[in-house]
Amino acid sequence: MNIFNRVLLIVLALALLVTAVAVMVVTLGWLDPAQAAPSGWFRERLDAFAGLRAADQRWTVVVCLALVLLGLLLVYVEVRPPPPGERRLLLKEDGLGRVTVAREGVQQLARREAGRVSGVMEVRAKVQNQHDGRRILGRLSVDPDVDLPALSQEVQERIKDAVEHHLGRPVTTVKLDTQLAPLDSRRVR
Amino acid sequence: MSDLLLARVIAAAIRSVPGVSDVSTRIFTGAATYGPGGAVRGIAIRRIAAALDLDVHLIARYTATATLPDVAAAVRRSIQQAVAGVDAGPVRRIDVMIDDLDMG
Repeated sequence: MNIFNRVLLIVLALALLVTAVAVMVVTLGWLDPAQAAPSGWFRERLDAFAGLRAADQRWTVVVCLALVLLGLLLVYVEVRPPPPGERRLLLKEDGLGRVTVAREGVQQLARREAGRVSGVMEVRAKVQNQHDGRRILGRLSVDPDVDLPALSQEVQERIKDAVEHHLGRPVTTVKLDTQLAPLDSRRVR
Repeated sequence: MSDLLLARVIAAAIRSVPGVSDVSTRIFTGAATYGPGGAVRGIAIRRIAAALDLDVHLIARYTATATLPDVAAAVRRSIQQAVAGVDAGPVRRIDVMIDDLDMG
């Protein structure tokens, strides 16, 4: 999700939270609509929840609680930082500290190496961390005239050599899916 | 020496390393050193019992020869020399974060 969508979702989730809490406190009679709402328009909407019958009140509170939980969950999911392992690869750790590289940088390197092989039209690559090294998954769109097995092998070797050389860590697997059609927008799995 | 001035010295030391394209100034790294009259993004300085703990974010330059651990080692050496040169105290830790590769 890009940053704009993420910010939009956070704003909507916060609006949902504020609205649900306001409706709940008015429904329970903890605050008057005039106290809970800063604006006239919102106050008029809240008026409808003041003085509900007991059964309606119960249902309103249950729905509000569910919306509050949903809002909290959405905010949590969007604002929590991804675990460091998701974004960065550890290259070295010694007495002086850690050396890490952004996963995207390594993926860019893999894409560059694959793209330099003649006959490769498009490349997607994803790097995964494993206990004994890195695993690289990729998808290639290739020229129909090329020798597919030879090209796949060359790309695999180039990616493996480049990533191992630049990271100084072993690459255990390079798995490539090759196709003649242009790559669609699906991510590498 | 102020942290801001020290961060500028460290940034210059990082940029002087051949395998480095630049200090990474991406706002989402969260690393920055602030002071009167400015800020240096990409470098965070913590002083712990008179020693320095540093977080440095950089963009490495892609070359066919240099490996990223080699670049990081050169960055650490360059920072240690620069910090010693301004007598800013012992360096206890340098975490090097390579945020991107400049493919040129």
